[in-house]
Amino acid sequence: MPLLEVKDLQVAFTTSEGDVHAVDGVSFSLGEGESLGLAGESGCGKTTAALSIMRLLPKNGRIVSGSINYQGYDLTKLRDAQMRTIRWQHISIIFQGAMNALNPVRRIGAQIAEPIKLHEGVDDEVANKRVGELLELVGIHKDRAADYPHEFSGGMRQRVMIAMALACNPKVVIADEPVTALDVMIQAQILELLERLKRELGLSMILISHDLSVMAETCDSMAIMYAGKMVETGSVRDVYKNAKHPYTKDLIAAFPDIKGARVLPAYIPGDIPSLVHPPQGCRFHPRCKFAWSLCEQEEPALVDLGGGHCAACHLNTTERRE
Amino acid sequence: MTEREPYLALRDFQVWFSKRRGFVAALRRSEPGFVRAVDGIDLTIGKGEIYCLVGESGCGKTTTGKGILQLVEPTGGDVFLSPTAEEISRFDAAKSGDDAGFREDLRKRKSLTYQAKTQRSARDWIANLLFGLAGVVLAILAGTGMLLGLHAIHQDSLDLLGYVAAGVVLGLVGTLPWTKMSRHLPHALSLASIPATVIIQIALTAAALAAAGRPADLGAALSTSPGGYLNYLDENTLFVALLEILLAALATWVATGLFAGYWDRRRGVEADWLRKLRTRLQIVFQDPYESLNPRHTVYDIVSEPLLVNRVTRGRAETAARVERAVSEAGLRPPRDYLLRYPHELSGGQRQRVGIAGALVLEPEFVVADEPVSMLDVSIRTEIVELLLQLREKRGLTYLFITHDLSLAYVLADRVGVMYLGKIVEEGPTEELIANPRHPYTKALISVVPIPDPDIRHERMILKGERPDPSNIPPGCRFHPRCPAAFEKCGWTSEELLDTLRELAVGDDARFLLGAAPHGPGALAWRPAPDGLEAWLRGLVTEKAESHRALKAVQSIQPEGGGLMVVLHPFEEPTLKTVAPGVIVSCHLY
Repeated sequence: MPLLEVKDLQVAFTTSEGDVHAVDGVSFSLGEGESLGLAGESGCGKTTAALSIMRLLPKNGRIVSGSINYQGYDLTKLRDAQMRTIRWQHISIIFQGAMNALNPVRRIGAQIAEPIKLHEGVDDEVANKRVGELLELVGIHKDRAADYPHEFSGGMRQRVMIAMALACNPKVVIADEPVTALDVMIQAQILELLERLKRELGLSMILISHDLSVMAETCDSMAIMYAGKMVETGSVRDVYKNAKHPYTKDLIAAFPDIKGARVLPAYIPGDIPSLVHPPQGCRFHPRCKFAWSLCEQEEPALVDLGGGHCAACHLNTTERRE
Repeated sequence: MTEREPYLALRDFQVWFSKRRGFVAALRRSEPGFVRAVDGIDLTIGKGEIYCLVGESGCGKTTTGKGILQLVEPTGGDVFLSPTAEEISRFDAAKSGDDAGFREDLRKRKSLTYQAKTQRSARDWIANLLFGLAGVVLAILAGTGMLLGLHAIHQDSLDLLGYVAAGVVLGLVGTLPWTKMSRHLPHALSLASIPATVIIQIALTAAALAAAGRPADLGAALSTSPGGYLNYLDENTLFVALLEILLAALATWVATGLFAGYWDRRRGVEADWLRKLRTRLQIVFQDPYESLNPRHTVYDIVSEPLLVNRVTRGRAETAARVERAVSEAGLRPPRDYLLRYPHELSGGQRQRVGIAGALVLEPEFVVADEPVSMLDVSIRTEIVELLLQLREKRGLTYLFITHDLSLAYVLADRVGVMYLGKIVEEGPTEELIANPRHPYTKALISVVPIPDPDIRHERMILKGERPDPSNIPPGCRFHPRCPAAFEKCGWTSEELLDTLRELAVGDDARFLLGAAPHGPGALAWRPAPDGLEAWLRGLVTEKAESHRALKAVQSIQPEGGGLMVVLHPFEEPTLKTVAPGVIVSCHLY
């Protein structure tokens, strides 16, 4: 029984141009101690999916249908007060952009202590002691709790964000692009830290990133999204070595490999489709090398191809004609 | 270094930024600190070559690119534009000084920084001259006007010429501060000079009037009461005189201020030189979401370089060139794009607009500053391919700045690795990636994620972050983070003390009592705690591999009741050629 299971999630944003279905029938599950990579290009709905798990969607966004099961509770149906007990004590998030997610006019110690005091109702002394421990855990000296965010470098701020996410001993941590915009060396430091924390604290983790090569090194399983749809899920090995969806293949091929041949990686021609008027049939067909008439008419379902490796492509289920 | 004919060569290129100082510190002329963003780099880029500069953020890659284009003012060194291979090698060989004449001559002919400096000094000279002239003219007008006004009021019979002459002297003295262009405090000085002018002019008016023929009256007026002078000029007169003085001072101040602003915008004669340069050297910026003006159409953005650099004559020519550049950048047909605004374009299209803006001047050399790092992976190659095609078609030369080694690997002819303002290793791409020599290069390559879950490789994760470029470590600047640092890499007594603090846990903490650096090269204990020497020797033999600062210990000897630990002397490594085309600056080689 998975710890967290998202089923058929549909999220819509109301905009002046009409409803935008940023997440359109997405399902995935996360086992205990497992780490799942959620990948895709910008605007494919990764972050929206994560925010709906936390029920932190912006005002114009709403969960239309589907369920998010966590330990027998459907998070989409909980009242706000109940959701507040889930947030941070059970599921927490490392927000995107460590540079901007911290409040610049408050000391970082106070910012980390805030969720502890709020959720656990402890006094300042206990909270501050926890802050010290958390900072040491992520590799920052505890005396720096009295510093302001601008006194930290980007990598250090990301560590602070991680400490904040761990403040109330959650079981699941969602990391939204935790290493984007960081230097390669700092990136490696942060990923190593996340891996260590996952091991030591037995965390389950959802890693959201556009960088597949980062996931190859850190995740157990992967889910690839395209234009609000899930196109392929499975273990990292299956998805990488035996990709069944053309989009996954193209995406993997787009990364230059420093240990491989010295050739320019491939690219995917065309642009990401508009989510207000998504293409008929398979959403990837206008950019797909293998598309044929069926792809324009019928939307492929996510089909299990064995061993939990699923892909949503007609190539796997129908004999190609023409 | 390369078989190609060089297009661009940097020699001992430096860009330093002075740290911001407070007003008082600037007045006291305290020594300004410098952020040494680029600290003396040598590199040669061949014609049609793609040279990749790689390094962490803040290592000076972008500053190098901007410095070449004179977008930031280089502090020192030379940027040679299209020198011949022979000239460059002769320039390098002449370092010792026996061929100084040749070096000067080459600088004069081909060094951008040298030319910029002469342009700048010419600019400053002309500016000062014009400021002086403006000051003189305004001063004459102000002083003469004032005296003529007084004359009219008093209906005196003084000679007009005398008044004019007196006015010149008065005005000149009153406007002196403006004739000097002060870099730091122009506004403060101009403001302060208004009351100063008023005071000086009142005093001088009084003196001039006294000398001009009513001494008896003035003397009598002054002697009757302390406010005698005020009585002497009746109320009305005084008011008018004051008003005139004030107006004259204000007019001078405003006029010079406007002039200074105008001058700054135009950059004077230098602008013509820069315009010529900009048509040869261009830049593509990193973030197409921020580098395009959201209120300009594609046409506005791409045509702007043509207009500000005064390249085209007439609208038709401009339009034709814009269209060609947009089409060459892959936005086809161009007419569909010209009237769009940036928000109507995707990320990749925006970057194409940025590229078109650089291309429209038909440059020979382009600095591509992380042109794809803000784009989605799936379209990066498209943009990179475009840049490569343009090289084929136009024979462009690129300085490609990136932090992504795997991109450099597939793209560059040669790669230079920068750390804290210096190039630490440079070589042909394949050789550098397959066989990195500098420990920093090795570490950088080891942390590049590999898109294959089956390959688990050893990652060399460096501790900490890059040091502050305004406080660069002595010796090799990489030594505090280097996993292979040894004796002569640059350890100081402070660093050794920090390491000992780290190692002195529990009971051992007592050994640090009385420890103090004795200059940078030694650590002294007075008096030495019992067992200190044995503890230190034990650490040096056991922990030196994990705590590299201990390697620097040269000798431990008792001295005057205490103990003295002397460190190895160190030096900064220089770039050495270690293999064909590969240069490394590391003491290991």
